Amino acid sequence: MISNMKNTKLQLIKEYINLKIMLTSIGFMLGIIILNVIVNPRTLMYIDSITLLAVPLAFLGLAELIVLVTGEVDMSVGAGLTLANVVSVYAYLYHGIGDYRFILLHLIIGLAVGIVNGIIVGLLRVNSFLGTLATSSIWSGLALVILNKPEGPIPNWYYRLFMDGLWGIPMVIIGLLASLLIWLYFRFNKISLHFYASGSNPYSAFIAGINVNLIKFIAFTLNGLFVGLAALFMTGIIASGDPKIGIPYTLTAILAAIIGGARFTGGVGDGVATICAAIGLTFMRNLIFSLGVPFYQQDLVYSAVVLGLLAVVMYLRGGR
Amino acid sequence: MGEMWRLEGLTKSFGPIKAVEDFTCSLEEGRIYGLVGGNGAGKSTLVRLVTGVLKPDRGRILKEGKELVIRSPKDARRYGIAAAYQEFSLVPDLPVINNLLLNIEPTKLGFIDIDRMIYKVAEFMDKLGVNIPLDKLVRELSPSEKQVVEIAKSLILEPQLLFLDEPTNYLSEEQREELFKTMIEIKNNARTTIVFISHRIEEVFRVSDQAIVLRNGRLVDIYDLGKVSMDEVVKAMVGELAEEFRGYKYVPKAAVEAVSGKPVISVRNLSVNDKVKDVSLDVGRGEIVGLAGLLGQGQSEFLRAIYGLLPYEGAISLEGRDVKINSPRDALKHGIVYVSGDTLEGVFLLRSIRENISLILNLWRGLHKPVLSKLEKEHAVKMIKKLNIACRDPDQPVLYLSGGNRQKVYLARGLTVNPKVLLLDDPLKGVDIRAKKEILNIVKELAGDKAVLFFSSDIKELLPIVDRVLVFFEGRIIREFKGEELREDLIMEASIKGTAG
Ligand SMILES: Nc1ncnc2c1ncn2[C@@H]1O[C@H](COP(=O)(O)OP(=O)(O)OP(=O)(O)O)[C@@H](O)[C@H]1O
Ligand SMILES: [Mg+2]
Repeated sequence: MISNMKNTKLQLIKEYINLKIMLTSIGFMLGIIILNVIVNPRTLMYIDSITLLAVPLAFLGLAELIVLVTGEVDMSVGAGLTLANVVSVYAYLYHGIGDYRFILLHLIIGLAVGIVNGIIVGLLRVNSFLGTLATSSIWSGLALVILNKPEGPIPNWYYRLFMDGLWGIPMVIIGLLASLLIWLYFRFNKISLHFYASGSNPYSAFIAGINVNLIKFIAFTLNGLFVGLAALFMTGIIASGDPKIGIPYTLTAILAAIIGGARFTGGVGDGVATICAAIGLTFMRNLIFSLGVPFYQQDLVYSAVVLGLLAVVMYLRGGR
Repeated sequence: MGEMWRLEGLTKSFGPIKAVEDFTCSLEEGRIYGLVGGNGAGKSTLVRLVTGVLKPDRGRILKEGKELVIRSPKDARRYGIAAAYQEFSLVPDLPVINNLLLNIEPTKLGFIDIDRMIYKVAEFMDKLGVNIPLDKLVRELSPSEKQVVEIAKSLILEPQLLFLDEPTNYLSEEQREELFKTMIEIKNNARTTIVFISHRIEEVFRVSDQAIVLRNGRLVDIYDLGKVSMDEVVKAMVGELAEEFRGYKYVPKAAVEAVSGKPVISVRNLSVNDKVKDVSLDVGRGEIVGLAGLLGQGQSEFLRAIYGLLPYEGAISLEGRDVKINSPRDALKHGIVYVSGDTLEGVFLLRSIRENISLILNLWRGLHKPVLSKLEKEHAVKMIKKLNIACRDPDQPVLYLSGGNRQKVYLARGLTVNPKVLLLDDPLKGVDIRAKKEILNIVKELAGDKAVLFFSSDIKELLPIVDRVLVFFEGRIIREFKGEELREDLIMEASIKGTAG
């Protein structure tokens, strides 16, 4: 009986951290990195700065995942990131807000876009694909009104943070660790079960007394927090405000979540796997660059590879 | 012992259909009420009204004289009301344990307290005598395991008012007995009020103190089961049709003369994993062969393999020609049709009754040819009438039908076409008494020049129409009954004793 219970506990934890998907995703990440190193051994020298590029994508992947788990989708994460980036840099450049409030502003804008999406999808019951596609255009448009071209600089201390790290710890470590810990905190929290239940079978969740609409609202709020965190790292990396920076990220973020086990029908998906997928995808981009694909063809090649990858993932999962 | 619960004037309409109308009744604590009525009588709707899944148009619910405010299932839970639903309320992507504890998870500082969770559920399941791995995902469970989890899920809430909506549909004989024991125990010890829904009238008589009879959404009467006969209750259920129904006798099937020529279907040494072992049989023209045995002895797997749903080893030949069946598509091409008792896998909920019924018909006509909607409609209307499917019109989506009526639609699909081989895999689950008889008669008529393999978990229902009965035990056919031997007691004995018999 006791050993039986221990065994059950182990199996349950395995289920919660989704071991199978996690290992596949780690394999994908390591495979791409190794390929990178083989093609271009000098990659090793830049491994930390390439990985840093993966941090915003990791947060965006989590933002996407958390919404996909509840059976919705967010087409606006890239635009949300752009808005947070642009507004914060604008506030610094034109209103001198350059202290800790610079960081706070990123998070507040992120949360705000999440809450707006949450109201539209969770409370007004608008289809999330259409609703967030609309808000995506609005955030992008707003960003262009605020800054119509890339502008800088950003506060010097914030810039140095990304050069020197925080108390000597490089930002890439802090970013990845933060994403990991936030995810695990969520996953072992009671509410995550209600997220998965709401996505897997909303009717059953409702019968168990779960307020499915409220869960969706909370999911988008958390999604906003992740978008804000992604923007924080993006600003640090590009050291400017750029009204076009986020556009290609939405699709990649969805792909990261899908490799992380998510499905458009909801109820499944793992955060650790999503983070690894984000790192893998970033190295893939680098690989295409290393292979000497001309600049104007990179998007084409990258997208084609991404599509191929998606097909492989779907095939391995046995359809759907 | 006063009244504990009172339902007063409960009314619910779906468009023009009055599913429940002005339902009033009092329920005492520590009693079991059988809730009976034909398919579409409004039983499940009543359950949903009290558990807060649906909002009544009118009426109120009282507990100890105080009116309850039930706006959602959450409120109902708080008042000690729980239910095991006919169509289940499980979450496929969560493990069994999290389904059982959904929304009542024990926590420590907000985190899931896995130890306490396991401790609580393991002990509880032990007490129920259930042995399903707690970490298994619900989507991987068999229908009967899902049924058990659904029931356990309602029990673990320790409700004061418990609804069990056709909980025995997917249970084996033993599991049913186990459930009845549990029901009687919580009725006596926890003084729970239980409302038990079933289409098997003997079951209702076996455990209930009183029977509440519903017909067309209205309360007919409440009977003290000590004082009435089954006949009287059935009569109350079918109402004005009683006379017609009484005269409704099976005409025993004319025995097939010694099977002449080649059998329609011949199976040799068929094995499916470790579920079916070396099964061989022949079914001749016009023969109806009943499959018996306890639940889960490989009958289902055997039929599913012939339909191409499970990979098999062995040989199948049709009218003397060897065929290999890899998918339902192959099976249908050869004229093999299969209907199971799992409504969820069988019907397209969002499509109309008409389309659901004529699916195979259209498949056989060829998909590139235009749909013959007139013919479709004719068939649909005929079946709706014959099987007494309670619906507004043939173009209504199946989603809006009651559980039993959905199953009838699934069956109608198999009975409309004219296959060579008809495989029926316990297809009468949730179907009311009247429709059951009608369906058995149709199968008998249909048998004409084809082969029918009919598995039923309630073999006595089949006896009037079968030529032979084969008893399955642990994946093998252990005995054959025919002629004079076709008796329920003999078959049951063989089913339980297994190979020893
Ligand atoms: N959501 C719905 N929309 C429209 N009609 C509905 C809906 N739910 C139920 N009905 C109709 O209400 C009536 C009662 O259905 P209900 O499910 O309560 O029957 P039931 O007594 O449980 O039958 P069964 O024995 O087949 O389970 C049926 O005629 C059904 O078609
Ligand atoms: Mg019902």
